[in-house]
Amino acid sequence: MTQPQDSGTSMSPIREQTSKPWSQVEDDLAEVRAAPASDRQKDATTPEDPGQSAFAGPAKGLDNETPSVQSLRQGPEAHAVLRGVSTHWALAPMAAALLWLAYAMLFPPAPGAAAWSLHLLGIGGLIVAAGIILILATGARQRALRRLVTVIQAGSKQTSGRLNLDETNELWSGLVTPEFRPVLQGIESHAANVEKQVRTLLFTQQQLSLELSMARGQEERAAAVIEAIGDPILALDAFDRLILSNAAAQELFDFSASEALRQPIDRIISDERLLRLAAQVREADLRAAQRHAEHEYGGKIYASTLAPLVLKSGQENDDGRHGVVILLRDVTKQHEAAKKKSEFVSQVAHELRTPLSSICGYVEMLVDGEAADDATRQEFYEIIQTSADRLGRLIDNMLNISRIEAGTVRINKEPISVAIVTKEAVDMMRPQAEARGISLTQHLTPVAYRVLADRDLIYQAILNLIGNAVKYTPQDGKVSVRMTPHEENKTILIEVSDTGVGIPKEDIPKMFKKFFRVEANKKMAKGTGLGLNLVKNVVEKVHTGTVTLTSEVGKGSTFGIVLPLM
Amino acid sequence: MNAHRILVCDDEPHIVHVVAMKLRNGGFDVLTAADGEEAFGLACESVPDLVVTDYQMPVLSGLEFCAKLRAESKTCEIPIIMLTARGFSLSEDDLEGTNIRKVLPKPFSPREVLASVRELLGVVSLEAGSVT
Repeated sequence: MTQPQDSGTSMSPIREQTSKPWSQVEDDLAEVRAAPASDRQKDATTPEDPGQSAFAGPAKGLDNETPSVQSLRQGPEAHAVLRGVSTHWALAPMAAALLWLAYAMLFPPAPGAAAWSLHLLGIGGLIVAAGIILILATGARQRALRRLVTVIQAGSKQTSGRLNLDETNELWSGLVTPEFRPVLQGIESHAANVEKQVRTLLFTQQQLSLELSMARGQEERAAAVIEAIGDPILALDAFDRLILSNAAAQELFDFSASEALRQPIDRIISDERLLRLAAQVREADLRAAQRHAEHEYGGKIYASTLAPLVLKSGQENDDGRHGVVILLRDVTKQHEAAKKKSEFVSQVAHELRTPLSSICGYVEMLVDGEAADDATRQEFYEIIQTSADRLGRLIDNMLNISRIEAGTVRINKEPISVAIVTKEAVDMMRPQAEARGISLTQHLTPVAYRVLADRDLIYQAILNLIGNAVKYTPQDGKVSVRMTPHEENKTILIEVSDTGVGIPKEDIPKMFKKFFRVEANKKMAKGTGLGLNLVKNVVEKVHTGTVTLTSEVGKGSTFGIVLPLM
Repeated sequence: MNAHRILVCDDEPHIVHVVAMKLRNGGFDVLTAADGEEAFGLACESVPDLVVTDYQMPVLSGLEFCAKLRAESKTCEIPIIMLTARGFSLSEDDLEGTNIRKVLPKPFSPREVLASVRELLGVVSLEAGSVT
């Protein structure tokens, strides 16, 4: 009786392992699986294991056997395996012994003959042989069973490997007997199937979770975009229910997203006009459905855009109803700007009418012959001329301001002497000052101090300052124009001081704003509120200088221009 | 008979000058003022037969001046012609409480001013051929 063929000493690990705990067996298996492929091509077949028994599988459970393994062990596969190590082999010598015994009984030799000893020896030997075979086969059977269980256990614990019959490392070659082979093949293909299914499921799961996170990502992105827009947005479905809103909309109409979702829109918004427009968009043909309107909410003006919303999830009814998306844009600023502009235009028109009135009036007088003599006629001509000049200056002022602000003014910078330009402005204003008894003095720097500037613009700016000083100073007051160079900063300061009405502290920051006029001084003199704005634009925007202002009500004001020296 | 006295006020000296000259040449006695305050003082003092005033004036605006005239018993009956550069004509509310009879836009025609004065005072021009 031979034992199951070993491949030498490499078989001993399994022998030892059969008394180890199963977990360690698995670890060892894993280790061996990882062994290099050079061992793979060993001969996988092993001589058959003699010894066969027709007995049923051992009823006694082996150590650490799981129920599934046990059922496998006791099942038909196990029987197939165990045929290789069957105890049936013991039948042969047993049968031989019985036959011999029968022969001896039938043909007994003479008593005391040596033949009796021969018979006894032979029968005895055969019985002993049978016994030995039995013992060995049982042992082998046990071992084979353990091996089977090991294989099954190891195989059932593999999550990513396969029972590979081609792995001809020392361990497997010992296990894989021809009897084992069908079982192992069965297990292998079953495991392979299961593995395949698991892989497919895992793959599908990965796909799905990828798609889910992509979809989530897209949804989050869309929601972020809608929130970032900052304008109130509402979306209604074909039944007038709110399906989407952003924080701006919730704030404007004062509702909370969770409460309002899927509510009819007329419960959320009370603006009849907006609701009517939404209804129109809903009913209208898709192509003609957009609507625009303006609304006032809480003191702000909103421009609304309503458009049809076609929802792909089958929400469009057969009668052509679709949802509505509403976008509201805060146009309060634009409205104010437009209002300011039209106010500006009417103020401009008003200002222009005054000199024009003089021109028209005096021309008519001349036409009607109301000027009796040459002196009077001369006077009329001069008045007409002055008025025409004033008209021209006003128009220039207006145009300059709007061009500077739009950035389209044509600037012609050249080195100019600040002193010369200032003197010109003073001379221009002198008649007006004298008419009001105001003394106009100047303290100018040497001509040599120059700035790189547009002559006309700088002239206009200085003229405006002096003009204001004269306008807002009562009779017999004083206006002085002073220039101070600051060589250390390479700047020059031009100051116009007056002993006029002064500006209230709270108004000082607003003085250079367009159209701003000090309320208290409005009656003292006419003005468009543009002069100082022009000064600021010219000095700061065009020449990178600064404007300064100090003032005290009742005492007077000092306006300053700081320009960079050449 | 005494020539009618007209009070003309406007903060634009050229305007005052041309209106005054036209009216004087038309045979009227003319007083002038440069702001509403000054005008009111003169009106109370010399009680003119008619007032021609600008809408926009410093110190006291045209409307305020007219309201004051209406409130004052001496001057409440004086008819007033208002000149304005404002594109719109004055509203009913503005004219309420004043004795403004006519509003003329600027640029105005001195001829038209003279004609309106004559009309309001019921004066027929004695100059050759010209009738209001």
